[in-house]
Amino acid sequence: MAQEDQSASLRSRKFNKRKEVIMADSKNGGANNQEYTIPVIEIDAYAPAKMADRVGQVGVAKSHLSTLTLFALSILAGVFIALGMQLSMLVTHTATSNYGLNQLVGGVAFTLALVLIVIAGAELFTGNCLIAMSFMARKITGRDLARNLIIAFIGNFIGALTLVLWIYHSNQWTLNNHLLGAKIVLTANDKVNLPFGAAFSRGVLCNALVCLGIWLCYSGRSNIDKILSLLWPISCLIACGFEHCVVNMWLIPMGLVLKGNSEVLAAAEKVCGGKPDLSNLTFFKGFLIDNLVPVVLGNLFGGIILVAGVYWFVYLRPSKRQ
Amino acid sequence: MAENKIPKPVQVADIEAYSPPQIALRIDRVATAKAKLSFAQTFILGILAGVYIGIGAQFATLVISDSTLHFGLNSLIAGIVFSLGLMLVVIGGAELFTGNCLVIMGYISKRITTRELLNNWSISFIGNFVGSLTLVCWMYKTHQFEFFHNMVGAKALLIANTKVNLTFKAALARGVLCNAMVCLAIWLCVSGRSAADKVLSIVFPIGGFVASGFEHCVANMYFIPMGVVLRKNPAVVAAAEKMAGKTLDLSQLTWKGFFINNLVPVTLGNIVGGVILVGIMFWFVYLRPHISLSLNVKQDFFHDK
Repeated sequence: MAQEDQSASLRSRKFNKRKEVIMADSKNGGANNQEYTIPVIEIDAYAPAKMADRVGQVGVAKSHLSTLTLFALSILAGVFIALGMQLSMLVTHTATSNYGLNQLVGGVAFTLALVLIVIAGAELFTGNCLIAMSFMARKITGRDLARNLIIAFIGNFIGALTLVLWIYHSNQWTLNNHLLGAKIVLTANDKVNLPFGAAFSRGVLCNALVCLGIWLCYSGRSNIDKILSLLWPISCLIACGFEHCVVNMWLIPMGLVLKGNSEVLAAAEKVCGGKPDLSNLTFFKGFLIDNLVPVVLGNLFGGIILVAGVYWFVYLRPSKRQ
Repeated sequence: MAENKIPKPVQVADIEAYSPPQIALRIDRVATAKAKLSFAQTFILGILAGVYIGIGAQFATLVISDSTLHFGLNSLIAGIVFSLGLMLVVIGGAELFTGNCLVIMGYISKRITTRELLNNWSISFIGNFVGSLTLVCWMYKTHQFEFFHNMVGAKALLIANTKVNLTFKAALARGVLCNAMVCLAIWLCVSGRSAADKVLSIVFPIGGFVASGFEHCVANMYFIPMGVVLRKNPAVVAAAEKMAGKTLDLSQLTWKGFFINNLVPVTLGNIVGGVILVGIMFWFVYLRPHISLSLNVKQDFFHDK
């Protein structure tokens, strides 16, 4: 009888926790039931402390991925980001509407990339900065973290360059009298002419937003939760012109390829109202040194220190647990 | 009796979206189910898919026929409304050739035979074609192309004429990118549980590929025959010339131009994009043998402490 009381009190506690309790004793009837199960359906969004825990566990799982799997998934992430960015370029390239609205539409279109990465599953260099939480919680070694980030970086680069090739061959840049190509060249040119400080700080803000978008996704359960949580941070970072290193791996090489096309240059001249100065739009000096280095450093700082570090400090640091 | 009344361990019902390894397993099983469909079932579901995609295509044509908005925004709106087609296919249920490229995952896992795979692809392709042509016939009879001073027809004619004048390489590359995005949309849908999940997952990739001007062979089975039919209508051609602001060279807009300049390269591109870029890539990541680890990721991801 004591056990019956115990189970009754257990049940009432479950009710108090506002969890749905269903007695599954249909077979034997109420009085004679031999055993029953209590299915509990939990549909609340995860609370931040639980999210931190989940991020930590995912970090461990990601660091155990085999090299080939990780590499294939990173290539996919590069492709997804490039698909999002080409869409964003396409929808914004004729800026006859209000400037801010145009940027916003470009940002919303770019969300495609992160939706694909988060739900379809891929390894993005910038998003993987969150794995640093597992490192700080001493669940993985520094070597695991570095391995994941480096393979993801190389894979993202290859994926983005693959899409440069496909999109170049699709002749999509000739759309609308080559104005699309002109937009790509001019945007790439803006990016390679940023001073170091500007590129770095834009990189910091960009990856803080990317990691926050992914952080929000860890709170959601369904796809709709995740898509809506991504929409705001990700459209913000593109609309506000922050610098994402994987986006630049597609955008700037695409600008480099199109720079040699005279019709695109003519369209670009028409847009600028004069001959644009494309002298810094080169692979090594312009792309790698003036853009990619500060942006990658900024992305690492924004993701690892500002998001992963801060949330680790708040939720996962050891002193709090003991 | 009372001492037997001990509660079993609590069962937790899982309502999370499916994780990627689970999506791969589910698609693997769906492939088997699709291969088991009879000829008549596949064919009729194929016709439905052709009609559904055609409905999305005609909706997009109508919405962008008045192009006072700027080019990019106009394309984006076309893409968003075109998603209707794939929503009907995925939620309503139909056999779409491009989406069925994912059946390759079941084939590589040796769950279905080559014969079953080719049967499914060829029957759904023919079904899609029949469905699209049926819809062209119906839409022509509705005289919807006369709306807005024949501008709806003019837009349809211009879209079709652009499509048949692509070079082989451009059509192929656009086909690859298109079906990669269509198969990704289906991949996202398989991860969702509710219809709302699926609708929202479809809007981004499908809106994206249409706005980007990529080429989908089933959509073209509606767009181009519609153009070929409307070409015979002098009022529509006049409106199209007014819209384009120049005299149009419609010499390629024939059945021959449709098959050779567009359908062949686009279909090949669609197969490459769907089968290789998505199907085989994800099979390699999640289903290849001796990789129990990535299948366990789900448990690591969502393990309750």
